[in-house]
Amino acid sequence: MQTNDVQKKRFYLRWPWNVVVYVALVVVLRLFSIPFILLIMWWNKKQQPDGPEEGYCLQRTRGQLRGLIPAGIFLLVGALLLGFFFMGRALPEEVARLDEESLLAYRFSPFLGAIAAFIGLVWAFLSLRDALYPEKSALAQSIRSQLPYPDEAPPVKELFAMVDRDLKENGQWIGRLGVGKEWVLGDEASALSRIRGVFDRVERRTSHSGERTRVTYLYELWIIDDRQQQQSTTLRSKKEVEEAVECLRKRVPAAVFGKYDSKEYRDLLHADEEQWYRLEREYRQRKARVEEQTREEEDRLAQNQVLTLPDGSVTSRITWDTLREWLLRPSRTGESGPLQMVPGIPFQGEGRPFSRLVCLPGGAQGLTRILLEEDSGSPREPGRYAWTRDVTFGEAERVLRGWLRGEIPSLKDWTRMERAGRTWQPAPEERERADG
Amino acid sequence: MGQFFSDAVERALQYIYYDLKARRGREGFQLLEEAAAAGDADAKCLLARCLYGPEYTWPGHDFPEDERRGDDLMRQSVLGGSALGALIALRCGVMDQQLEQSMPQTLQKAFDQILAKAERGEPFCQMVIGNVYYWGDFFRIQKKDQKSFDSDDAFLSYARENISRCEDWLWRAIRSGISAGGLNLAWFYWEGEKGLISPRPEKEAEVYRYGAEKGYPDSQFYYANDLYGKGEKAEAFSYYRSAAEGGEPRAFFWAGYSYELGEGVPKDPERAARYYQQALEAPIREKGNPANRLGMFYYDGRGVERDYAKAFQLLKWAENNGSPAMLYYLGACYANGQGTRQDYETARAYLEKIDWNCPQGFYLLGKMYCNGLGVPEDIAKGVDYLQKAGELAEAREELKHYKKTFFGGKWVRR
Repeated sequence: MQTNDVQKKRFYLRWPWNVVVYVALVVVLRLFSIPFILLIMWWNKKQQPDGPEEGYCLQRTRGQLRGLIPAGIFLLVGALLLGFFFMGRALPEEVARLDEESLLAYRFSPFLGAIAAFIGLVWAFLSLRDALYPEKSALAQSIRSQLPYPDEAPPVKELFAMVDRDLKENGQWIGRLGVGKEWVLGDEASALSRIRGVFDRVERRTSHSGERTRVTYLYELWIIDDRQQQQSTTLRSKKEVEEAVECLRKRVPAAVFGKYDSKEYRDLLHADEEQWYRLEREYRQRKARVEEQTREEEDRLAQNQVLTLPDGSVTSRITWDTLREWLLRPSRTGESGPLQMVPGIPFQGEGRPFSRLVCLPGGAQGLTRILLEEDSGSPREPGRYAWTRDVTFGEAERVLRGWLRGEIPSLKDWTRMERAGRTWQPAPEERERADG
Repeated sequence: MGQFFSDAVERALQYIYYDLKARRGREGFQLLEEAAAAGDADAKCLLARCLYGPEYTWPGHDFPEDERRGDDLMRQSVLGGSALGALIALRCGVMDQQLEQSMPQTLQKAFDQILAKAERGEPFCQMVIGNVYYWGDFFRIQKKDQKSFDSDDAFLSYARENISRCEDWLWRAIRSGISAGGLNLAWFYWEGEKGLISPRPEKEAEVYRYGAEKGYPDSQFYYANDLYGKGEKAEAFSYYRSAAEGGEPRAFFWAGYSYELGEGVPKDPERAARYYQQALEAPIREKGNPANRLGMFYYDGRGVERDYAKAFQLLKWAENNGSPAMLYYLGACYANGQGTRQDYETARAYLEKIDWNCPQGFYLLGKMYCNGLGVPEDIAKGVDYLQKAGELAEAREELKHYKKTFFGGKWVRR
């Protein structure tokens, strides 16, 4: 019988059918198609709760098709301007009637039209290239540029999978900016390990045309990497920019943070070889400091289990030195008592969870008995099975050191035990083997 | 031989009753053991008093308790001719008819002997005489009861006159250097004697204040209690600290608490933690508060190195021993698997009892509801808790994972 482990795949409009449907809607409904397209896009996203099935990167490159809209507008404006000019050539008497301002516009129209058409063509080309040939897309190029040897980069599928995997497992999304443990995906991609500077750009721009004043806002995040390359991402609001900076401050605390076009930004971007060497050294010092602080913090916080000593006292501050002292105690004092370590969250290993390690030290020369108890699945019930083995001091050290890291040893030669009240007895199959 | 008793007994009295700050009670106990073994009858009754428990001496001494041996020693003391033993045996209920008949002297003679020493200035004897009057043991010593008087008025007048004498003797005892006398005197003022002497509660504090100002650690503790009850916390904490420095174990917790709060002193978590630890190790019954405070210190890594196992052990012990459960801390231990096995259901049970503004607790609850940890997933409820957590960074971070749907306004995972 098939289990329900595999979730049933939900239906959604796949590439390129979604584009086909959008185009069809535009053709049929014109402007009225917009709410329907937005509705389909929302539904499509909802049907893929674990992120886009095609992957974040591919979705982003395919999304560049949206660039056809501004490209089309530029082409249209270009065509209108050129049309205006050629119409003037055909009707010179009409041109003669134009006032001074319109005449000036007429004279410039072929140049402006050509420029607009050129921009439109380039934009359309880039959009189509990114959408249809992802391996040549700007995103793929930016990922390659982050690799140690860009020329030896793997195929685009692998490149995208690498970024997608990280974002799926560790991604935090701020608008369209995804920040993973290794990668930042915005309009372009940056490897976290290469980031040397993060700069925010929040600008308000006003332009005047006639009596009208137009205000536009720029919300951008600029990243400078260790090759002095820049990757920028446009965000939607000041809040998003702030959140993105805050998030990156946590992920790359040693990088330089500041404002776009500030002194720090320019120092980093235009540093010559000598200056760059100095900046890199400062970066490494900051990084080492942060790592040291992180390590200390982790040491402080990584108290994931409870050690109960033979005298009944408990501690979470478990060090190998403490364990070693107790393991060797029988050799020194002739006394032995059981140690117990219980993790807050059971450890996984050998295909099952384990919730307790009990150890009866035998000293440097004697054998140390170790028992690993399987987790029952409920915090209020003891485990039913356990594995035990008498090991030398060296082996005990290996097992205990591993347990401190949450690792379970291979249980191949261990005896499987079954709970019998407050004690343990060999599990039935073990008993049979012993009898046999 | 000393002025009033044997050398050993006089030194023991010094260590056990007159100079608490010297912390030589154990030495005094040992002296009494040796003297008692050598047949000193006075030493036997004093040793018995030590064995009866801290209320007969001082909790700071931490003497072993052994009531049976105490009774045995007390009888030996009475039979050995100790006047002190006779009066103390009367007080602690060992003096039955048979013992009274077997003792080599009468109770009146024993009383006269101790009275004479008290009048010559021996503090312990002054306290014993004061107690004889306070507890009404003089009836039995003087072999008088209601029938001995012609009228009720005469009896009442006799009783009033004698009980009132305790005031003078107990004051003398305190002034001579024995703080233990203050406790009965304070009770005498607080309660009076029904039908005979009216209470004078205002004088109770006077007794403790006198002892506190003289530097008796136990009086400082009682006086601090009085001040704390009146809301004069800064002065109360100051006396608690003095008492703790003098070794009064009942003041350890409060001294620690003042260092934790920074009441009248700069905040000093390390010192606070040390006092809490001392309170836990002290021979006192009330250990729930220091266990809870120290548990929190271990959890937060305040004043001590962070140790979740110790934190959980202390917090759980306090709860199991009748102290209020530290709901957030226990909930957090269970929710995060810190110091104990992770158990979301138990964590929720604790955290949902929180009825004050506890952002960290709300954050944990929000996370549990949003992710269905130990509860059926309920994102709306979880988001509600996360929003209640206000500006807490973790809660704000967690909230970013959820959004309201465009249609219907339902909370869903992003």
